[in-house]
Amino acid sequence: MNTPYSIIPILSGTLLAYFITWILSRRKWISRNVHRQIWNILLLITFLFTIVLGLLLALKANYNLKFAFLDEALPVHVDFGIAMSIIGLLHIFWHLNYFKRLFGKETERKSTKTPEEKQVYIRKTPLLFPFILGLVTLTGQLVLFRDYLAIFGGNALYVGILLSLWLILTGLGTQLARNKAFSVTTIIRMLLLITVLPSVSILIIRVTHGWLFETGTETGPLSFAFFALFTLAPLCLTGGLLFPVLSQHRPGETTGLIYSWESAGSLLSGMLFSFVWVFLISPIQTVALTGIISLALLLFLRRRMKEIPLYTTSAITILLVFLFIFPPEKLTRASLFPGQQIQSIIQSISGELVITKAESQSNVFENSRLLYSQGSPSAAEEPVHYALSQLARVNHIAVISGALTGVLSECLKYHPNRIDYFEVNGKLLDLEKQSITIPDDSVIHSHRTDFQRWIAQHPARYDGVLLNIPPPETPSASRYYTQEFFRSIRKNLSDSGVVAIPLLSTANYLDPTTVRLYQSVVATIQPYFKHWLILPGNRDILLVSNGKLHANILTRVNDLGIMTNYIAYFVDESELVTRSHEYAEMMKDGVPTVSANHPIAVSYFTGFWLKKHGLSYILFGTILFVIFIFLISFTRGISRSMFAAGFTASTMEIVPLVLIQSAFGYSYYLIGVIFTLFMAGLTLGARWKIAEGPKGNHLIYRQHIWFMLLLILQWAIAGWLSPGRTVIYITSELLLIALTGWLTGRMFQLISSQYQPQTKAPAMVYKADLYGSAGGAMLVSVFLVPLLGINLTLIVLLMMHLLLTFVSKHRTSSVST
Amino acid sequence: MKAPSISRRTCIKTGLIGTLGMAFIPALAANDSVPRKYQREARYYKVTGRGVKCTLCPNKCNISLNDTGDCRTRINRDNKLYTTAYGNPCAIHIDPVEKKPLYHFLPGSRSFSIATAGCNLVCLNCQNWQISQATPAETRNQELFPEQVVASSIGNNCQSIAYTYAEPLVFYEYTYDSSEKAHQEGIKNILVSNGYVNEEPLRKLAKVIDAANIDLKSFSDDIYVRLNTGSLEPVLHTLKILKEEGVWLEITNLVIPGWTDDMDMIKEMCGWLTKNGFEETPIHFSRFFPQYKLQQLPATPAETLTKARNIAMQKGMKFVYIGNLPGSDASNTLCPKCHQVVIERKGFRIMQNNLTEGKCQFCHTPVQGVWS
Ligand code: SF4
Repeated sequence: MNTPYSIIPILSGTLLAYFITWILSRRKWISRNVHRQIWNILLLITFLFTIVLGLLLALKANYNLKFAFLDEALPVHVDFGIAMSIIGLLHIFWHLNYFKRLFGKETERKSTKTPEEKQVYIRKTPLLFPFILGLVTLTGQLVLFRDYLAIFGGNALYVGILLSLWLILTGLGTQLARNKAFSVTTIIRMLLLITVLPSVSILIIRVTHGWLFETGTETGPLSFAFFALFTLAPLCLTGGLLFPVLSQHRPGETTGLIYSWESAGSLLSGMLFSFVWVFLISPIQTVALTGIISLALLLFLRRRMKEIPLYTTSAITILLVFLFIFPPEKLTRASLFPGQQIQSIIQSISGELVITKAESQSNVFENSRLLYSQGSPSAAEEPVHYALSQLARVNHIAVISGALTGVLSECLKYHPNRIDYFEVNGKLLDLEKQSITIPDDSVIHSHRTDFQRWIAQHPARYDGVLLNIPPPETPSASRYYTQEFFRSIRKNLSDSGVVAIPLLSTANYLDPTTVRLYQSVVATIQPYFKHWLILPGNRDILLVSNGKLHANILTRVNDLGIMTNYIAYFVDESELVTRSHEYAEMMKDGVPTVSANHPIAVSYFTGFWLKKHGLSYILFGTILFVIFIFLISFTRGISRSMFAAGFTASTMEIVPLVLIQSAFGYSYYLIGVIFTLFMAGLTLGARWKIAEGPKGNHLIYRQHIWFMLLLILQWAIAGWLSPGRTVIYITSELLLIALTGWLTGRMFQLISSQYQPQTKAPAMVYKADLYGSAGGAMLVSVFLVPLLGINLTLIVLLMMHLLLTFVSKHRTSSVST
Repeated sequence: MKAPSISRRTCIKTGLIGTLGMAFIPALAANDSVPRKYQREARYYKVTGRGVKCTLCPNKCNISLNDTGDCRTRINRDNKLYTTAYGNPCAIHIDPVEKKPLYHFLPGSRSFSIATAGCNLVCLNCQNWQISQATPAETRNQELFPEQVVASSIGNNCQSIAYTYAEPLVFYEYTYDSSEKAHQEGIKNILVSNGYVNEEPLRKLAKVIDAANIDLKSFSDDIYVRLNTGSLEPVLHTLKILKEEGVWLEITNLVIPGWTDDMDMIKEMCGWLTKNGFEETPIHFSRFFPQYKLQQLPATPAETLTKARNIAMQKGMKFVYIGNLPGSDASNTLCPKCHQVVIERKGFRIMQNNLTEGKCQFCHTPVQGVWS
């Protein structure tokens, strides 16, 4: 992009999108009202962003606000202004007659209702429709989320943003169905549209990313949220719209029934994706295949529903089959890797690995972030020689990840008896073996497993433990910085054994946020190790040991007669010694320690990362809080109880996920299991017969009490069982998740059966559920748990649920929003 | 039971007021929190009808009352411009002079290196973003006034003081006063800078500066705008002025894949340099590693750097080096006449020095530089 403002892409994108919705309305796939509502919402969104950013920029200019994110906001403000102007012009065209009348040129007013809208057919639609909806939207969600994270270099914050946006946009979609009736033909057309939307969205995301963002830049949270908002909107709005529409077409049946079928579709797609597709086919193939399956189901239904158009359905199927056979993975990824040839794209448990060649240099990217570029010896030499040169004799070494950098060859220079190499990502391990960065030496034993799990079962006496791990950007990455980890490592270390822990890349200065992160890690290791030392490097390295540690690395490496390419020539020993003393001076203040139940390091790292993008943790938290209040204010009457249920349910999914990841590391299968169990619980709960008994309000109160009891149970499990009693712990967590799903489904059924008017129940209750879940997803994963720890978070959540119960007015009717 | 309810309007109002309130308090507080003792009246500014106009760098910021310039280090107080970066460095290190990089200036010597917060550019690949994109009020600083800077450099056996890391031109007064005092004590001064400065202040500063490494970030105005928020012309002007003023000059060009690795552009840049008499000015093609916001790129391939070096030499540049590439022999200085290695370097270390009184030991050709 050579110009500061994206006039051409926005103009063409907006006009194209408008053209598409216009064509759809002309072809009667969507009603004209829906077409207009879409553009009204877009006008509102662009208007709100333009004025809020404009106001902030005006305040910046007047009062010299020094938030770096405001620098980023100017082009965003202008871009939104451009979009708003274009959409505004389109609105003027809609109201051309009004202006003509205003200026004296009267034209005949046309009826705004289409013949179809005047004549609505309430005909039952098959239950396979909500099933297809669940199948397509959930696969779309999983694949698109992975793709966003693969493109933008995901961290916990981005996952939170995506999840919240998805839920909020789907909630907005349900609004579009308000007060409207749709014919079966329109529903079928929307279903046909939704089968291709994930495939179209994934292509749009990849192609427009290259146009909109500067080469190789990490996108800030603000730009990311805007990008995700627009690229997720078509799929989420359509998905949200379809749910209440499908419910309307099952007159006389409960919304819970539709909810259970939709959940069943989601359940199937979650299972297929997590356990099968992710390992066998590419992202584009996955969405194409889901589309094909859905279209096949529609064709199957055609025997009963002649409205399903044979030719259109077949044509879309052929298109998707073509996309499945020839997925343009490399082509659409090319703009992300300028000047490089993509050698291969590998889907692994931790994300997408892309291997590229630039000239003859190999590069490996994980989720678009560089893991390794050939010919960079510092990445291997610093951790190995900083740690191992402390020892007179090295027998047994454990290396955790990072073989690609050449770390194992450096270790071999110490002639150890055995090196255990651990890489939990099987695809990465295969790659390392292929690229010969795991030397063919009998002392090296590679293990495709998690280091902590391994040492729990195979106690050892390591002289050196070298961690080549990412910074604590997520709870799963932060587990290597916890008390639990250091305790277990201590037991498996020789008397003077050394552990090397990489910290951040800080160049010539440690800023206060980084100091707090370091202080917290140092405070965490102190109960287990007598000595510690931080040495500056490309990434600063923390050495811990019960033997003495020294900063005169160069002398020690020379004394051992070890040849190096980087340390010998680029490291200044006197500077190393001076700076390690300076670092030690800064570590005096007491700060909270990192534990599995309180991954505080994640909040420090997130603070550091947000600062890079001109935001602060406080500002970010405040924004989240305001959005949360907005979401609550958009639900009314008893649907606010559904908001509370959705909120607690999503937190009850996220909390165990965080806990299990912090305690046991990244477990891809477990995420699949958690999701599947929740959806299974949800499906059952939504179908569970509610016994006749107390009045509706009391039943709802009872459900709330159950939700609060679940939170208390979660607190007990986290406190008493984690992480010592693994089997009972994980089983209890999984049971809790299934119960939460069941309770949420039940609550949905209960509230939607009592909601008045019944015609609005699906839209309002579903929307409340989605908004509540969005609120929970936003607050818990990136803010509450890292900052407060699990125990306090659960208490806060309990209080919030209690509060939400009180603010849920148990009027069965609602004021229309 | 009538449960309490929050109206949507109340929610929105309270939320917005809360957000804005929390957001603005620290921002408004930031300006004033640099103690007065670290502030000095700026030397280059004009009072205008709307406040003051800083004339130090090409950004030419118009700064209204209590406002700061783009570099975050200059504040308008009572319609006088003050620097808030004086005697409060946040980074102090002792580096080999080769790390600057300067290869033809006191090789093997140590340089007392300092920086305060602030910079007049915003580079997407800034290695020191925690300093450069902060205000002096936000960084952890030490107190080191010019006399102490000089005393510390003498105490640490440094032959020079380097004003470096972030951007020394935005702590101009501190750089100037320290340099002046250093000269009085026989210590040399090194400027490691983006070269984004106006002529008048630069000419004045050049009188007390002995060597400079100027970052010529690219040879395209468009890339300067997008990558660095600056422009090319002022930097080229700086190179010419430093040469005219007799400051020993070396140039660094960071070769970033997808941004500055276009060989035609490098050819054009080297053509300009030779045309303007910079043939004997050493140029360092530096290898890029992901930094700051430029995280989704590979390191620069060795072949790309070699190609750039070959182009520069073909264009007539006499001393062309490759930096940040361990194991490369392109960091040696070759005699421009007999092509023997006159200084052999590995990383920041001098392995052998075959220069006598600045002349090649083999053919006695003078090699440009400040050798003692
Ligand atoms: S030195 Fe700073 S205040 Fe002065 S013009 Fe440059 S950026 Fe603006």
